[in-house]
Amino acid sequence: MFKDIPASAETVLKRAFNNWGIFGLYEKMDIIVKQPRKSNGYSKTEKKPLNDSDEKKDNRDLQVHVCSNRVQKELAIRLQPAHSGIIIGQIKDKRFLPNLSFAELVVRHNPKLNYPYAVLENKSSNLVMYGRDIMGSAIVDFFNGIKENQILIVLNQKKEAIGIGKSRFSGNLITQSDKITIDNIQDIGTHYLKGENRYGAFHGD
Amino acid sequence: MSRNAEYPDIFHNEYSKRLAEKYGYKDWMISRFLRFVPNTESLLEYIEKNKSSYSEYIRANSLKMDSVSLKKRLTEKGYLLEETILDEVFKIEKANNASNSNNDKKTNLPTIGSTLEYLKGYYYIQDLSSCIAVGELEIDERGCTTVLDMAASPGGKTTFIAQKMNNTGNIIACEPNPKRMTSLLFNLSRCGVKNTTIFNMPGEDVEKLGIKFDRVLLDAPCSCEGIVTKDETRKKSRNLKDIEICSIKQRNLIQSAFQVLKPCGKMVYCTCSFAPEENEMVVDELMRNNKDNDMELEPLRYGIDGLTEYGDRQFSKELHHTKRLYPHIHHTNGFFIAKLRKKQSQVV
Ligand SMILES: C[S@@+](CC[C@H](N)C(=O)[O-])C[C@H]1O[C@@H](n2cnc3c(N)ncnc32)[C@H](O)[C@@H]1O
Repeated sequence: MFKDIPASAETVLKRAFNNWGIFGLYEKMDIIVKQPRKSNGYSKTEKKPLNDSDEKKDNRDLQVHVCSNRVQKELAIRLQPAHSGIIIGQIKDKRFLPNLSFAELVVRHNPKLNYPYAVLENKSSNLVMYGRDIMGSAIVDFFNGIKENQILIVLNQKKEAIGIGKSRFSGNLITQSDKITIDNIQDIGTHYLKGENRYGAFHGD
Repeated sequence: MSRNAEYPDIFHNEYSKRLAEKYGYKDWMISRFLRFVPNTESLLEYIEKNKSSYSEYIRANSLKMDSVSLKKRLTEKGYLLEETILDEVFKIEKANNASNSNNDKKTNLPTIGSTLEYLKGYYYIQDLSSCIAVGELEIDERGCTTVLDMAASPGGKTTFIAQKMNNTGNIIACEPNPKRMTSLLFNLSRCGVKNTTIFNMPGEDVEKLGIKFDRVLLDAPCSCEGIVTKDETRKKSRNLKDIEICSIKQRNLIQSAFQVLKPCGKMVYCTCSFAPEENEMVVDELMRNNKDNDMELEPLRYGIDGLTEYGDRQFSKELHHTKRLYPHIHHTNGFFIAKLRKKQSQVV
């Protein structure tokens, strides 16, 4: 069910926007949340939470949608459509898990690159685009303050977001040549192509 | 001339039989084509010649990249892009898109549907005919706040509308088939579309939402005869009953679509079918049933005039404003477009 972002989730999300250096953007956004779909069927009707404690449980796992304007946001809350706006990630157990659409926002609005990132050389970019983990030798530039187990944005040499990764090492250790140093969490190929269900659909429609 | 065994209403002759045999169609289809497709044999010849290397078009997605930068970028990679009548749309030269495998053997370029630029949503692979239809909606960022895309999946036209609105205002998209929802979501997300709300429901129910629209696009579910160049099974997989079923659904949908249009609002009705029953007849019937007399057909820029008669049916003279696009003439899918305007109601 679409609803306004609950206060607890808003705190998490604001902190994330701040950490990624795009805090100014938050206030300009019309955000709604929804529990992520369990199966792949977008159902027409969804159950409302029964009571307060159910509601709290629901708030532990929320998909974050950005709408274009207030009218769209209100429409989603009133009419409960199958989908609205663009999904930028998930709030799960008080953490924000960004997706590639969020990464694109960061790249566009934070050109100073003061956020966790790794830039890959061309050949590896192509492999990573389709799911490969990242070898240290593939990294040609990275955010200096990188920590172990940190979520970072994977960029190609044109500084376009091609994935989201998680560092296995901190600082310079991330470039160790013979090891996987970044796990591929979400790459542009699988992120989008898994959704490219060509069920009866032709390119060209 | 004799009656077709399967459909006694359709007359065929030696010529239609010969063409059906030569090009592998059902006889009744050819007999019908001969009644309304200009130069039918050259259509069949064109389809035959181009079935494995048909014209493929891409549309730059200005929400993410303007068309000049896109052209430059893909050209640098080795693709050949040709300009078309629409600024955002390019024809991809055959040499680089002929292969069906992931890599084109001749050029070693990835197919146009598997480049980084595609995944990033910098462009959409979309037939020129579809782009023309959206262009005819006359959407401008300031004037059109609410747009209905009544049959939306996989989102080719929704994403183009969103781009024309610069991601502002509101698009309401309907798609009743849950299986086709995934591709719609994929395309909206890939193209960075934010201003769209999707309802998993048939377009006939749209009135229940209580919203009136400045623009309505009804890209109706159809028999898809017009994409036979891309899908050869269409030569044999359909029968007249399918056309009839589509036609009934289309008449209901267009009625609902017109119902939710604001006064002075515009609506585009289109299909990728050649069949008059799915095209002119649907629009003609809507006009006939329009007791309020508050509807007019507007002229369109591209294509050849729609039919004003078919068999013993006479359509409204205005139907010549509708347009037909043919693969052998326009190098697009077979396509039909009609543009309607709802007149301001007369205050007495
Ligand atoms: C020609 S396709 C639309 C293509 C789409 N407009 C695009 O440009 O990508 C027709 C769509 O209508 C959907 N459809 C079928 N019955 C419908 C109905 N009653 N109301 C709305 N859509 C319907 C089909 O599932 C299909 O996705």
